[in-house]
Amino acid sequence: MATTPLTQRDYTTKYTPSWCPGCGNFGIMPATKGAFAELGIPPHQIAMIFGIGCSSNGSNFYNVYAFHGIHGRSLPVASGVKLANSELTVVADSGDGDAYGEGISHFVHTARTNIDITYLVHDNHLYSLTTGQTSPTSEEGMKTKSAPFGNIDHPFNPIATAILNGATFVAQGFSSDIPQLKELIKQAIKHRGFSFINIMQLCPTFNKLNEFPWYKERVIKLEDEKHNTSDYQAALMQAVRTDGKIPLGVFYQIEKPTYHDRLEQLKTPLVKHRIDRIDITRSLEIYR
Amino acid sequence: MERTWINWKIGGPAGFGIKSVGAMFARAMLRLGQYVFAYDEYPSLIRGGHNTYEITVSPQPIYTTRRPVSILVCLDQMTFDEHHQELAENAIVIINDSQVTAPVAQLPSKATVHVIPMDQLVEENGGEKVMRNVVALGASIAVLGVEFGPLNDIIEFNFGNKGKEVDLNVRLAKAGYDYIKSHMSQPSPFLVKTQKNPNRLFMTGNEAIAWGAIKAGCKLYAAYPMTPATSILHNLALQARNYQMVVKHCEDEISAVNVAVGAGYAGLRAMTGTSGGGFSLMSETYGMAGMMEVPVVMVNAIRPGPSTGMPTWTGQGDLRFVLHSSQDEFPRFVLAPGSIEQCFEMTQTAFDLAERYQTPVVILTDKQLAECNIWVDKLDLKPRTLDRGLIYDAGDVEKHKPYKRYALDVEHGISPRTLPGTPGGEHIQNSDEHTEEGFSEEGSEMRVRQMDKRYKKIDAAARLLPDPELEGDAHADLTFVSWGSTRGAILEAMEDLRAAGMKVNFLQILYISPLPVKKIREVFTKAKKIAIVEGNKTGQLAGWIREQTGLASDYKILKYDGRPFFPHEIVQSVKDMK
Repeated sequence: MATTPLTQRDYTTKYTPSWCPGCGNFGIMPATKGAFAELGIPPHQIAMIFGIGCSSNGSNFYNVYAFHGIHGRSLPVASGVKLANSELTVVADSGDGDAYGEGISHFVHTARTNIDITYLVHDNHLYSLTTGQTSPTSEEGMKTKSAPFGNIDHPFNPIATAILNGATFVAQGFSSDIPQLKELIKQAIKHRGFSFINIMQLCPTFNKLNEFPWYKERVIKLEDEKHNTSDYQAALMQAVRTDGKIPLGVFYQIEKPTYHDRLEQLKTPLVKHRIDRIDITRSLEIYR
Repeated sequence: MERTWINWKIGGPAGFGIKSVGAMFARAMLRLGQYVFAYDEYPSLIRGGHNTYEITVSPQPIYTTRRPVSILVCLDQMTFDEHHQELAENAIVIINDSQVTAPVAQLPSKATVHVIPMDQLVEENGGEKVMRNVVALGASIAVLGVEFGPLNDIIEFNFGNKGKEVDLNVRLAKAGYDYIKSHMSQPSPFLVKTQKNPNRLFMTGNEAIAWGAIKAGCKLYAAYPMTPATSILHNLALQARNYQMVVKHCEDEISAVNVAVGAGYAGLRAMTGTSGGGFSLMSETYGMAGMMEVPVVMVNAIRPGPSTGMPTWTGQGDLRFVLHSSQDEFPRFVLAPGSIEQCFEMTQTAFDLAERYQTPVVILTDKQLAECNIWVDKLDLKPRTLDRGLIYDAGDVEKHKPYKRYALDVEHGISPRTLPGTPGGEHIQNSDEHTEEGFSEEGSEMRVRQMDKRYKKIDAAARLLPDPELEGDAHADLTFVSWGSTRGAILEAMEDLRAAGMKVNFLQILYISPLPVKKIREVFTKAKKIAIVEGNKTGQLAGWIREQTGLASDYKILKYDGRPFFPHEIVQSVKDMK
């Protein structure tokens, strides 16, 4: 049987995106859909778990099994879905507020589990849906509605945090470089284990500091630097570099047993286990 | 037949093996065909502090701890000092001679004291000091006029195949036993007679919930430890391989409930469990599951609060909290078992309700039920038909195009689900208010229609769920109404009130929401006087009934000191009624 190749349209709903003109999400969405299509994963086999925020409103625009949850909690929901049905491609999709604010403990702990899900974080250094407040990745000194005299906190480092806590695929993309981002997402989905991509993103409405020219001056490609992605220390050095450059590409990737590899009960997807005649008679003998 | 019972209580510092020796005593009584209810008190500390374990033993079914204390075993002075006022007139006090003094002035008039050189007996038999508890156990068995045999069996059962340890413990128990036999000058007033042993089980409410979940096909339990819910996690973790389920100890309660909801969304029977503080953290997700219409079972094992409260003690203060937890309104399914069998059965029902109505279902219990070891004759282990609810497969989706996740024109408010992986059933599961397809939508008309659709579920369930039975006398002078673990104390108090010539009956509310309004109206209209019994300060069930039916009770019997109701307290409250 000949199958028609999948295209981005197969992952698209009738709902018109409500993002602002020029929003970086208009780059991240086609990169994601393009990755799905090129990997040939049919829409019904994909579960995308969203939190709350501009990026998470994307849940309305993806024709997959989309789950628009609550702020900061996309990862535990995604873990629950993957534990239930390992045959699904599970992608958690959050913004920097979601991922590094309310959801930070889930980020650290899910990385430790090395469960086979992909985590895409749209990082525009701001809370944008709530009209532009400081986020955990806002630069020191950045003036926002919640820090009118400049942010006095040190910015969070998502890449170093992911590497330190056991993520087995760690990368960084940029919403304006769709082809590279698409390739990164494809690699992340193909990777067995917890894969994480921090996606630098423009917010033309509220972020007047980190605009396209600002990025253009700073972004570099890790592959141009002959970076060895399996070298833990080199990956960390890239993650904490102090020259102001923003490396794009894969920082770190290794093979390690996944959560599912470690539990015999997950060899068959749990949703396929029969549950209608579970007999506990013998086990109750210990209570006599 | 008038009830006979004894209350055996042992106390000592934490680390003296109070709980393990208590469990051995209880099991020995079970082997003798007795009914057993075991209650332990322990402070919210890991090391140190004062622990007690008390076991009420009766030849007739017994439903809670009876006071006063018949036999008090004091491994330390504090046990005597703290508990001598709980003693029966003819109590027996067993003390360790090197550790404890029992001043005559503090003893009831007819009490007997047995002074046993426990440390000396331990030393003579080559044991370690901590094993004085086993000497005391042997002595207790002797006081009851029971053969040593059953205790011997239990020690073997307890220590499994550890040969040397069994021999030593049997020797120590026998030393205590023989010491009493040779020093007892008059017969004990507390004799236990052997009855047929029907192989009763002896388990906690948490164990019954865990087994109910396993039998119901729960495949994922996600939790963060919190007393008194923690032992559900322990029990399920131990069984995870045997029953091919995943038990995940998450980083916090928020994660736990979201993992369970994710699994429920993907088609698993999933559960989480916690106590009030944890439920507070889960409350946003509780509402999310209500809004998204995702099945999940949540256990809230209540401890006294607010905040951290009294972690290892009991109460029923979370009823209103769970009924209102999370913002705005959605149909609440709240179940309140009050016995081991009910914990087992209602946990299974909870999964059926969750999947049938695509909704979170909360099981309320408390420390008293969660952690007390209680006899149970048998649990119904027959396979039962699982209600998996309305789930469309690819064929159904094809037949009913276009597929709408939140279709409005549906019976009982139940729109068909499709599980991730089903071709053609892709949709958005949305915590935002949404259209029939699931897209975010803030129009006033759709808002009202979706709210109304969700609320149809609770109306449908209210019609279908069984009404509670009125237990006891048909034409009663007084009707008790209650929920949860207070059931035991009420059943016991009813016996005493009947013995005193009063007619009483009892309505136990198993479904707090939807509340069996019709049945409650009927009972309230017919009853002469109504007393609502609850372990909280404000009479939360009484208020909820009044809100739902407009009917008020005549009396409220309330307790909120962290201890369970004791039957004599309820009897006293009834006597004090004006």
